[in-house]
Amino acid sequence: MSLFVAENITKSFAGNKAVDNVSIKINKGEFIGLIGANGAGKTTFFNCLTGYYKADSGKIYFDGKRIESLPAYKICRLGIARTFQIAKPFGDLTVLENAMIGAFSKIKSKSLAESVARESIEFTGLLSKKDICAKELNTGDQRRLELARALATKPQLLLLDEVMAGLTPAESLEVVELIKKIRSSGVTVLMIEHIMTALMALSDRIYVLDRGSLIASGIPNDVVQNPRVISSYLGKRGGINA
Amino acid sequence: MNKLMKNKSLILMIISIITLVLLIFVPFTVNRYIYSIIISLMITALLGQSWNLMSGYAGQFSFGHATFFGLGAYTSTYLYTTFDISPWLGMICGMLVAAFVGIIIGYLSFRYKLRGDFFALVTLAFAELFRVLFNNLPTFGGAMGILLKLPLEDNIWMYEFTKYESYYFVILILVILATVFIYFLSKNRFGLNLIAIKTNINAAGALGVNVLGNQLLAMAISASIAAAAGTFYAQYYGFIDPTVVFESDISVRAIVPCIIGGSGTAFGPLLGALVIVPLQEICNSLFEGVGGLNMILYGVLIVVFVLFCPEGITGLIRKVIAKRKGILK
Amino acid sequence: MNFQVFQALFDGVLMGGVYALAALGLSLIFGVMKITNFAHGAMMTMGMYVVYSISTHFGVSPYIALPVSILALFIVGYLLQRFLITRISNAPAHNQLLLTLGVAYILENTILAIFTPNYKTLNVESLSTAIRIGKLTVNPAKLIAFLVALVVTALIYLLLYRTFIGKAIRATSQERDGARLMGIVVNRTGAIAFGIGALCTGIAGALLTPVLSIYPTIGETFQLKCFVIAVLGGMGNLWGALISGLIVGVVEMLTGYYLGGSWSDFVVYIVFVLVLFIKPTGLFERRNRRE
Repeated sequence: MSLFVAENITKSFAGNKAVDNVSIKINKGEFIGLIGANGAGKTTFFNCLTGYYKADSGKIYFDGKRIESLPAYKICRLGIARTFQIAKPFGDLTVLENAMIGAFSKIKSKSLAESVARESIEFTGLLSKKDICAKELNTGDQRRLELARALATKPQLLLLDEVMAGLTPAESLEVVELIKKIRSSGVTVLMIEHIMTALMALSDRIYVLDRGSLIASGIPNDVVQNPRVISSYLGKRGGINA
Repeated sequence: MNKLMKNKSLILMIISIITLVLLIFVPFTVNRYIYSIIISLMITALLGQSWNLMSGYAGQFSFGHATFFGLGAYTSTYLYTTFDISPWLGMICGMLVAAFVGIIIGYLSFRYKLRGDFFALVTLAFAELFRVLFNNLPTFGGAMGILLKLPLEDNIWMYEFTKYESYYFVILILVILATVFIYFLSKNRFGLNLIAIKTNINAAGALGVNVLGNQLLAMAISASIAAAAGTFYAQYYGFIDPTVVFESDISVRAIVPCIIGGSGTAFGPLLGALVIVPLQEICNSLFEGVGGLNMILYGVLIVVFVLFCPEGITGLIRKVIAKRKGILK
Repeated sequence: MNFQVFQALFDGVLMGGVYALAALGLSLIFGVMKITNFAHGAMMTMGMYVVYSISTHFGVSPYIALPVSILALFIVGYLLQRFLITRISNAPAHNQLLLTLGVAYILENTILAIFTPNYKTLNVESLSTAIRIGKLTVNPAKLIAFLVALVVTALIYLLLYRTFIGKAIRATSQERDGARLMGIVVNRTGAIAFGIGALCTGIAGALLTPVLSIYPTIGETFQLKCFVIAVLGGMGNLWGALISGLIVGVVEMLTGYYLGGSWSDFVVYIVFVLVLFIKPTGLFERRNRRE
């Protein structure tokens, strides 16, 4: 059985269909990529999956349970964590406290939450900065913190929204390494990107969104050769750099 | 790093013990006038602490804490004067009533996603609503208010005292309880969750923080503390009426110590009250006979702090410490 | 219809016109600067006391003192925005709210220090004798207040819709960054808008001076009504403010008639709370907004 299923998700804003009848399936342990040009509806789709928006129609199953009408925090507690495209650190709190917020989602005890949080910031390489206020981190570290917080919720499924956005090439490489590490630790991942390169290397399967609709899916090599994908998305951007 | 933290908490403990000892000996050293100032200071601090939790930590800017203060004052006083129920019990009832009303206001506001100025306006509207309502309800004395009988002898179970000292200790204990409680909360799950909600409501939700639940809990606790202050006010001054206890001045009195001391910190409201109330008294005695000057000072302090020191005195201290550390490095 | 109801309705419209003018100022300030002006009531009080002192000191009609009141309030509003609020224009909204609250305390208590808390009444005989039109009783001062308020409101609209500065103000309120890109000096435009907003409430206060006994905190009740009206009309929606000003005036008088004066505020606040919850964007939200 699939870990996560979204069926026929549709979401419109003022009559425009931002997401139109999109279905995806994720099996346990998979690494799934979701690509599409800017404005293809990726983030909207993401927001529907995580309870931030309520989809107009469609069903979402996680671990066999219907979750489309649950609020964001309950979805998180069930085991789906997400990051945001623009990092949203809690600036006045320390790195450790930031991660503790995530840990507290499932743990009530402070000392236990602290050790889980510590684990996750160690995993992401932020341990040496644990007592620094989050607002003083640079962009790359803020992104790590974003991941650390999400991991501290002990998710089964992690949704990553353009984690590479705004990073320098060097920082991006570090984050890719980190994501590989997350993947090998057994967390199922759904990752949004508009840059193909990163996803090609990481993903087991890829879904392609274009103007709100799903136009292709499959293993990376097949998707890249799909004529619809080439014409609608990759073609416009001047070829594939994979 | 850890050593520094330990040192810091040690210093903090020593300071609080010294303060506590001083506070206990206050009654033996001062006269009535100073007493009344200290008690008024403590009421301000308690109100500030109440506002602090909801608006300082949880980030929902209330302009209507008079609602809870007034409900606390009226609940205990009504039960006391009509049914002879102990105001201590009345205080608990008042806290429950205020918490209940707080949850209703909060639920409606948060459900309809009112934030910022609009939330401030809703809370203000409720305070006014209650003021007009109590003005019009003869059961609660209407606009005439309720006059409590003057206690002839000390009766601790009935919240009746003949001496200033006793009232002083009551409010002192209330302030200490509230402060310790809020300090404790702020260092734990609840406090971290509130700060997360204040900083970014969506990110908090995505990390499993029950935003609505935490906001409502903050509202309820905050309202209860204000209600306890209301009961004390009624017992101490022996008279309440709708214009006094539901007045927006009360709401402002809850806000200002936090702004001056630093909101979102456990000791900010205390510091703020410690600065503003004596300053006002000094101003009053310097310019006797000219009304309004102490309130002008109030206004000036608000303006100055908002403009130049929005994080209050504690923020200022923190900045100075951070600078020192920077130089040492 | 009962004639007394008609009389109440008539009085309501008269008062509503004046409320509308004051609330228009509040709404304008919010629309342009996104600030809820908690000094609005104190500014109105200031308008009243300016008229009162000039009128009693020089023994002239309060309406002759009106221009002074207008000028004084414009300057106060302009300076407040230009030199204080601008400094924290990027701070959280509640800091700006607090700043105006601080200013309110300063204004109100300066008035208190100068004029004492006692009630002051402007005795203008020609204005206080009621005239009768048919069965209708008309207080001349109220009628003048209403008419002047209407004229001023019309002038403000002309200013906003026909002059360059008015267009700049409206542009700033709709799209602040866009306006900046178009070369509009947002700071100065904001200050002028704040000045106009302040003078609106100042005029409203001045017009009410012959009708009421004034005291230093009188503005607070009116301020709350301004909040109600501005929210009802949609904060920043100027036409909305005008219409809901009249609505609130009428509701107040009618509930006063049916339930007694002490309940009229209650009904007004209930309406306020309901609108805040159910439609905080006001009753007359325009449809052309982008999602």
